[in-house]
Amino acid sequence: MKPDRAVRIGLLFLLGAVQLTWAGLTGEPLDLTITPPEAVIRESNLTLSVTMTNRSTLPITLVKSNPGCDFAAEVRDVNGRSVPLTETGAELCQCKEHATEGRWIRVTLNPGESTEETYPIDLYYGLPRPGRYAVQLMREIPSQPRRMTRSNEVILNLVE
Amino acid sequence: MRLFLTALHCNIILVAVFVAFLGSSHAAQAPLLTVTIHQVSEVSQGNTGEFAVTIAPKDKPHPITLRLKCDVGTGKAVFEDDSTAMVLEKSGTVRVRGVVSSDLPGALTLTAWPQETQAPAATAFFDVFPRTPEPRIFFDGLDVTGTHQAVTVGQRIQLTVILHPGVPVQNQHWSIGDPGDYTGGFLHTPFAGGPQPVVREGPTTWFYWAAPGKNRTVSYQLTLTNGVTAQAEVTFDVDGPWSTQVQVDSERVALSQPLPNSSLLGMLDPGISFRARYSLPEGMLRKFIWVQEIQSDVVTVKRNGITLYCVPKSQPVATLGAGLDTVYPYDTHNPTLDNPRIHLPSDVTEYSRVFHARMYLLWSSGLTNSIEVPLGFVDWTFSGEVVLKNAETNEWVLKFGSGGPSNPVAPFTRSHAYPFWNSLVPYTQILTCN
Repeated sequence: MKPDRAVRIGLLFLLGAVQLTWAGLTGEPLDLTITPPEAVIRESNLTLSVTMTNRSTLPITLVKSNPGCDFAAEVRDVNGRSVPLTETGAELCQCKEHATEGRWIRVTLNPGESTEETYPIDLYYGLPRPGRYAVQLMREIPSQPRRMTRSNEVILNLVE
Repeated sequence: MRLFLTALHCNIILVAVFVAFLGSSHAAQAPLLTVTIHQVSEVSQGNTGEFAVTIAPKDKPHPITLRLKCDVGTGKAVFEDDSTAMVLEKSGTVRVRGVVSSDLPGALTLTAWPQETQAPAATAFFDVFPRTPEPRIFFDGLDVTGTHQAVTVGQRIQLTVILHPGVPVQNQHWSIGDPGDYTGGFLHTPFAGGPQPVVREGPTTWFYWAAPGKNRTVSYQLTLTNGVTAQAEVTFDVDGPWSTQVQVDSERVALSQPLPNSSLLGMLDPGISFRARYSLPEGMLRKFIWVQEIQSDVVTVKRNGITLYCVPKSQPVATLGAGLDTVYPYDTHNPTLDNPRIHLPSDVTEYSRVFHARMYLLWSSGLTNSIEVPLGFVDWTFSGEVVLKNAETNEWVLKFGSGGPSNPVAPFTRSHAYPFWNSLVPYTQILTCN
């Protein structure tokens, strides 16, 4: 075997090992990452960007429907109190009972692939300004019903 | 002792400076000398303005020297004999002729110097106005008057004309061209969205080109109170995506049973797909922003012989369940999909859904302060009608079903019209029926 070929094969093994290690670190095949728009947020209709990445070695198929339905969220104020849902947010809690469906986008993620989603948090939670809130999203893993994967926690510093 | 009274930049500038002083050798007995300068009429380039100079007390002559000077910027004015200094024995009116227009407010001074003094007794600040104003258009801090500017659709275009504050303006107006080619902004909240108006009056305007094109002229018109008009122009070459196409593929409408005793009416997987392609100038990023508006979504339910007509809850309540579909944007991937499915409950005997939507494609340059621009839309429909066959097993029969673009031959309409909504259809579990 030529030396450069050996190096390439070695790199491939290394990449595979890194991927498995990452999946092992997060512990979930589907990784969620939230990105707040800015350090200090002035906008009134805040939307969070959510990146969903397949950290497993198999393809994952998921459906993007209503973000308020697809994700569960933990939203807490500085005192650790849960922030109440808006009327829309509360109505979306019972997703399984929907008669009619709106948005419906089926996405298949190959290992390592990502897809972007938006989460209009102000639509689902009443976030008074000014205030600081800790937010974490959860989503059911498509191939493993009732098993949830958690995102990173972000702090939203909302000003008037 | 000095007292300053000033009134700057009225139409006629009135500036008066009073100075009282005591004679050097007879301090206790000397009368108080007061000089006042009042600008009676404007000074403009090539024309003469007047200043009233009052010297008190008036018992005997108190000669003073009047001097004209430009302290900052450009500007020149002279007395009637073309000099910049003259002696005035007693109160009177002096005439001053404008030679060069001033570019900064209050740049010129008319000062009054009593004899043997080191400081003026009065100072009047004034301007020499140009014969006819020559407005200049500034874009991003640069003078772009009469130039061609290369910009991108969605880029913020803020244009400003800076006029001398003393210019007697009656009206300032911007003409931008075909209203379909530009917008004042694009509002998109969950409950309301659409293009915003452009402010066309005043020294500043800002807008965004929504459509690419060459030689778009923006002109600024200035009208003065005396009826004099002036104009300035700048031309834009607007770049952006072109040759946009959206290919629409839709599966047939069918019944399915994803779980035992659970029936679903919808399109077969993956539903309807919208795949966009367009050409882009070199260096620009490929982006796909999909926004879907529900035009109507009516569900007819027959239960126990009673027929109910229902619409998904919208906020605020809209006719036929119209509004923004779920979230802005609908999706940012290409292709995007949809499938307006209905879960069929076994306590209903007949069910139908008629759904009309418009899927918009928008593009964003990603430049700072830029907005999304529309490239066009696809109108599409879904309809299905089912009858319950077996309540125990929740089995249904499809009586009718169809779905796809409203115009199958040419599904995509190129358009630079923005989506517009004033209601959100969040697709919660609530149906409003009557």
